[in-house]
Amino acid sequence: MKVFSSIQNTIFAVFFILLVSCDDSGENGTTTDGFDQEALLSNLGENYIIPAYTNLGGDINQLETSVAAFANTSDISNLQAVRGSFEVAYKSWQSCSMLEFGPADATILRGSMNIYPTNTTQIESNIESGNYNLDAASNASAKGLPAMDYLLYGTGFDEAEVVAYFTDETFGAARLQYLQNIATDMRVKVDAVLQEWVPSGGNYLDTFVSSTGTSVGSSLGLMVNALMLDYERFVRDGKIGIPAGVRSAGVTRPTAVEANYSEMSKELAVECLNAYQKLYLGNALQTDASGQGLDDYLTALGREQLSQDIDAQFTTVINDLSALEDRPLSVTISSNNQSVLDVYAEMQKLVVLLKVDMTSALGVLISYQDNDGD
Amino acid sequence: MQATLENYSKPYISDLLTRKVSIAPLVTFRVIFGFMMLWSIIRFAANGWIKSLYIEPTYYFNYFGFSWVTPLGGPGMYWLFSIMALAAIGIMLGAFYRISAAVFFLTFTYVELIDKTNYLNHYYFVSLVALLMVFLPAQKSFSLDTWINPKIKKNKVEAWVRWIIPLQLAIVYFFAGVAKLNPDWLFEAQPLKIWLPSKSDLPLIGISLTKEWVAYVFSWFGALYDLTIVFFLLYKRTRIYAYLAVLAFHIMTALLFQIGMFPYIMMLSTLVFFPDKYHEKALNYLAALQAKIFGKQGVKFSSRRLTNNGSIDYNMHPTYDLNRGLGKDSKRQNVALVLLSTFLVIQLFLPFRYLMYPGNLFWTEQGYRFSWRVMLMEKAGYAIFHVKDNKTGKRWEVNNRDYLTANQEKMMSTQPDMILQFAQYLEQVHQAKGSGDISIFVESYVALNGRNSRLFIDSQVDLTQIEEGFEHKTWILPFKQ
Repeated sequence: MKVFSSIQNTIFAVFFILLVSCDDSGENGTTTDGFDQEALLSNLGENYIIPAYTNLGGDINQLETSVAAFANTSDISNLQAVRGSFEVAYKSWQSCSMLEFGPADATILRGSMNIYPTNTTQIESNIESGNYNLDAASNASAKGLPAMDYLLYGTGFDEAEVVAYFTDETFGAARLQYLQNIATDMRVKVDAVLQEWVPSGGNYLDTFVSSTGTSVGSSLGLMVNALMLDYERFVRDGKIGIPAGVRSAGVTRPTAVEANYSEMSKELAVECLNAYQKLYLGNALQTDASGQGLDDYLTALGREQLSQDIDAQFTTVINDLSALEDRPLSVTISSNNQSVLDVYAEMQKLVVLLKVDMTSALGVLISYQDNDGD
Repeated sequence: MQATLENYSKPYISDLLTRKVSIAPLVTFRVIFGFMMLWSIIRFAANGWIKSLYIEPTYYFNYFGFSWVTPLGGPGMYWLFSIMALAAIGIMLGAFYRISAAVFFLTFTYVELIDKTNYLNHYYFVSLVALLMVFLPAQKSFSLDTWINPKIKKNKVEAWVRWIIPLQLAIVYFFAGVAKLNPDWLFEAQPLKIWLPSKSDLPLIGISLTKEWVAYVFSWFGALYDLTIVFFLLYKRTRIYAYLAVLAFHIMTALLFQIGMFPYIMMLSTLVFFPDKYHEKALNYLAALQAKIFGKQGVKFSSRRLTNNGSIDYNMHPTYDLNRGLGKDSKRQNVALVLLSTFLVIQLFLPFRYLMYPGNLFWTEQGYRFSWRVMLMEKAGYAIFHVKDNKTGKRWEVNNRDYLTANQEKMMSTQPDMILQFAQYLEQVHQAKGSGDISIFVESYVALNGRNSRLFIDSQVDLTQIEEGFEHKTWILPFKQ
């Protein structure tokens, strides 16, 4: 009987504990040693993500308008205007690249915006045939910002030559049309994603804020997985590693850099890392005002040192990238690849901090694939 | 030798093992096991895992000594799983039972041996139980086999036959409990301290999970549960409460963790601890249901009837034979008992084999598998493989994802034996491509139970020069708190 009552008591005790602990924290939704995930998510959603897409949407709209003006009057001053809007839009994209989850994932936004190196042969043959579907898989590397990078900068040695490329008697009109089509394609997709996010549209913001927890399907799970995938594959490898030859048995591929023709590679990489740091810190995109970020979450979990280490490593990478020689990245890779590989090594340290330490401290499952564990 | 009632009245230990008891618990377990396995296979296929785990990968981490176990490719793997599903149905219905059980054991174990990435303790449990089932006479009642050939029907089995499954379950629970008796689990509440707050979105209990003391309560209760639940299930007065605890515990783990079928398998398997009469009632209920559907020809468990005072009147059943079902061949039975003992002794030894290796078990994972260490670690890692061409001196990095799935990469990066296997596979790949003399080094970082990540493997060691095997892996860097 003694055993009997003890097991009974144990069961009661456990249920009692669960009931009591539900009870005393039910009012405000947070606990002293807990962390308000909704506050974190709504801060990221409202002050970083939606502003980032709003910005990008505005800049791509502007780009489409400038392209239309250039198509109307194809002169040097209009080309300069297009290039100006292009550079602004490419920089804005850097704040959105890592957000490839939810609406962006459904739209495959990155696939429409920034697949490089761009396929110039495919672009030219599309223009010549006039018969192409930009959504086809074969055109993934013949559209978006990289295609525009080629068309606006890679089709002539100077502005006059580029204008000449677009005013060519045979293909000028088709080329302008292509330029307009890829601008419109980007605008449509960015708008679609933005519309999905905003409360007046699909209101994914609400889903994002309410899907707390850290399981694979939770907002944090989705976002951290998207960040890691983007950072490893498209930032560390895409922007730096692949051109520097770390994936090709040490043989460098300088022309594989992002924005090879406009030579904005380094600038864009710095822009991108800045955006990452901002998102990590939960800072507002526009004002840089501090808010609840992943760093605060780590601190709340008692990992203050880690929280600071990650922030510091972001700063190191940004500084090292900025300190690269003031030349096109492709040239630096050809002349002084070791300096680029050194930056790569610092970027790699960030992968370890984010993917190993941060995810394991948060309890986020890094998995691009669903599976059981034990 | 014909056993008689007199033999069994003597209080020998051997009598405890050979005492005749109802076959019903074994039969219900057979039905439950077959059903759970069928469900597992359907779920596995529906999730697309046959393809993503056994067809799509280009490389598989085989177990040492089992490199001959390879996947069967596109249609082959689907056929294998189909055969496995048919075998599970065979077990459930008791149809061509021995063959079904043997086929199920072989196909299931084959699949598990293909890739250690997918190792789960509950798969190991299934393999062990399936092996036992091959030799247990679980088809001798309430089965298609007895319907086809009523002569094989038995109402009674020796006690050891009935208690072998509960014993197997006891081993699982007890060792899972012993494994929890480690400082991280008891005094740091790790890894639950990390995992529970991440589930704070659960309704009702969610918010309490962020509290640190809750992680301690869960840790200690979990250890206590694993260590003692079998005793409480065995003891009549506590059994029903113990089973409620089983339900509560496993429903909780199912809610909290992504551990698939394991909680359901355990909840249903532990029913085997209930006394014979419950199993007989359940089977008779099923038989009645069947009779309603199929008419008289339905497969019945037993045609015993109860007398007025509730005891079973064997005489009312004309074909009942008191001696039927008792071991007629004691030699054969002795052989079975010796094999069974060996099987059990191996299982008792495996969880302790880690003591033969120096270093921290959770860090090195030498002797970690096949030991019922369930949900004990939050371990994450990242491994960068550096290839060095020894002629040109050139060094470059490998993109693991060119060769591994995300899941394989994740599992590999925290387990030294897999890191070594992958390095040696990379050597093969590079040599096939025509690279001559190369060295491969790994720069890997691992974070264990909430500690900061640290270098895991000696990054100066050329992994192409290491031999795979069970010797202590001296190239794992020592664990530091």
